[in-house]
Amino acid sequence: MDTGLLIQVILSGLSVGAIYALVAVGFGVIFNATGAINFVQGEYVMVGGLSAAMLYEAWDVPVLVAIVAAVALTVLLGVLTEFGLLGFGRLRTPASITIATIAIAVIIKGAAMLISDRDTYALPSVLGAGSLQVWGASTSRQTVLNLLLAVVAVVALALFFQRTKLGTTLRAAAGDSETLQTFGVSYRTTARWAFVIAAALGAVAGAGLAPLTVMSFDSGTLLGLKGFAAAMLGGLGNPRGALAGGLMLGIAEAVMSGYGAAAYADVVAFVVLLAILTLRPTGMFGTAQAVRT
Amino acid sequence: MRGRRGASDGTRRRRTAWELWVTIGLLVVLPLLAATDYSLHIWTRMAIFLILLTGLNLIQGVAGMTSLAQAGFFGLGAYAAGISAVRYDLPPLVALVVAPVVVTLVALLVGVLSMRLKEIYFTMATLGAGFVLFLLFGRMVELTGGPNGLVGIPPFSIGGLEFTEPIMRYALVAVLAALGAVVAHNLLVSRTGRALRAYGASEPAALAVGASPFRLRLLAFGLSGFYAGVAGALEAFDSRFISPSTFDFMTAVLLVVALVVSGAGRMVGPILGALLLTGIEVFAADYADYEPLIMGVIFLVAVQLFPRGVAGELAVRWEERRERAQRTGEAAGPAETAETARTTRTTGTDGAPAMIEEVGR
Repeated sequence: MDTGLLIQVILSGLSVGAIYALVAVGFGVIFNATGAINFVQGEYVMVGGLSAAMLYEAWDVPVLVAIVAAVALTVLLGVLTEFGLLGFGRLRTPASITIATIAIAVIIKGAAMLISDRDTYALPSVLGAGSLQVWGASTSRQTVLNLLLAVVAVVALALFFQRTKLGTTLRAAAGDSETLQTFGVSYRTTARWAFVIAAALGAVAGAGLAPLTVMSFDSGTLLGLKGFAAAMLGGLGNPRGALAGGLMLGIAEAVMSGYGAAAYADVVAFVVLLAILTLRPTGMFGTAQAVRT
Repeated sequence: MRGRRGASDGTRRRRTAWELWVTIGLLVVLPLLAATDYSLHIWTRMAIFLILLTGLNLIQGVAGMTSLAQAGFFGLGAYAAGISAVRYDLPPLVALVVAPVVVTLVALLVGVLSMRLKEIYFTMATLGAGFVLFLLFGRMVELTGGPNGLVGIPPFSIGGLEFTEPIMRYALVAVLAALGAVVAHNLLVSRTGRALRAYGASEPAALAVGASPFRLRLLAFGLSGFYAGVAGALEAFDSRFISPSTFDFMTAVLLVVALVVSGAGRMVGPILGALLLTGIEVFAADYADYEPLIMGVIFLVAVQLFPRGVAGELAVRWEERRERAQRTGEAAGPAETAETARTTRTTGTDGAPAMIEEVGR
């Protein structure tokens, strides 16, 4: 067996897997706050990556400034998402909120299609174009940055949820939002914070993904659904599980493409999703919850 | 008490029967309004959507579980029929039978794997199944033709009779759509249908009487697959060309949203949804670039305004008004008052369990 190829495959798997992990964490944050699956999560990644790349390519904005602006824009979209879902006070059940998130995802994707005119844009890595040599395999420097981003995001979120008042409130909302409201904490406020965090995570994932591939209005949907598969694999709502699930999914896909079945690499995520839902719906690191009837 | 139960049952049967006649009436009347080749093509699309949504309504509307696999099943039906005809030279009539059988088997397999999951997890499992199918349509190039699609599908034919005229193509699809609506209607007013409805309405109550929702839901899901298989085969023989993009995630979402917006769980929901989808298709041809944006806005507004669907919302209001009118009417006659009080009491205490008792077996 060619160890060079193996290491190459693992590295590229980790690089994309880190992005899945960031998306998966975003799904978990919204799920904990509202009980709904946020189909907009993938579109946040698209908006973050595409707007940063468009700012850089079309308006010559420096890379870092473009990324910061893209994150700000995506967070604004997160706030608007929350308003679009809960601002009319009519959607109450997780199922109806989930359906409405699909509508918002379609709107954002449709708007992005018009604004980008179906063009693709690329963003260079903040670390420059050089590649890294690791045991005979070469990888872009972005791989290291993406891994770092995913780990930092997970650790930061874990600290935030454990150590801060807002984080504790969000965890309480996940446990029992009605009791929390009797303590005078607004459901809308917790939900809005959850969407701000999820959108920021998505935008960072987009900025990390753009240097690995090109971005278009169509980059978000499939990525979002794969991120969901990663979230289920690790246990929905569990940040550490999301990290593990994302990296595992990334490596599984890379192994499929690296060893001759590239055409079927996209199928892996959905087979994993079906398998984990069938065999262990709480995910590998999920706590016991009632997910079966 | 028995009388009361019979009355409410009769009302349901009358109401869904009325909705069934609207569906069949529209299938007959619509092509008469404008019978050009183009409009017949549009109405054929509408009737195919109707079959898809009638199937989806069994699991989404009646059993209360959102399935995002319907587009994948639709595609599986289309590819099963198309591949049977193109690669194996089977007669179209045989292909029309093979397709729903294949899809039903796959639906049952997916159902066995995912049916015990809670609502939202079930939805995500169906999403996964639909996506696997969609990706396979594009990747199994030798069998499906890959992203370029499957070409050379013959027109539908029985014996030597080829269905190439637009009016015959419409008639074939419309007859099967009407048949599908009748079967769905009969199922919904049967004991099985009432049991399914009971699970959709209150699962704990239905479980408490010891019935197994698993088998009933599996039946509903398998049937929704069967309808998708028929619709897919008809799509293949009508378009005579199929490509993966027709059966993507967006189609799955559109089907669910169209049904929810029109009124999931009502007999009249599928035809309203099918008209809506057809309208979108015609509209999209003119405004391709703005279509997703406008559609997304319409769906968000519709979901926010009518959480129970347009038909559901109207029906609830209409029933409330009728009940109010009935109450004032009964209060006027003193002889009726005792009867009214007794009925009210019966409904309040025994009404619900009585329904479940009947449902439980």
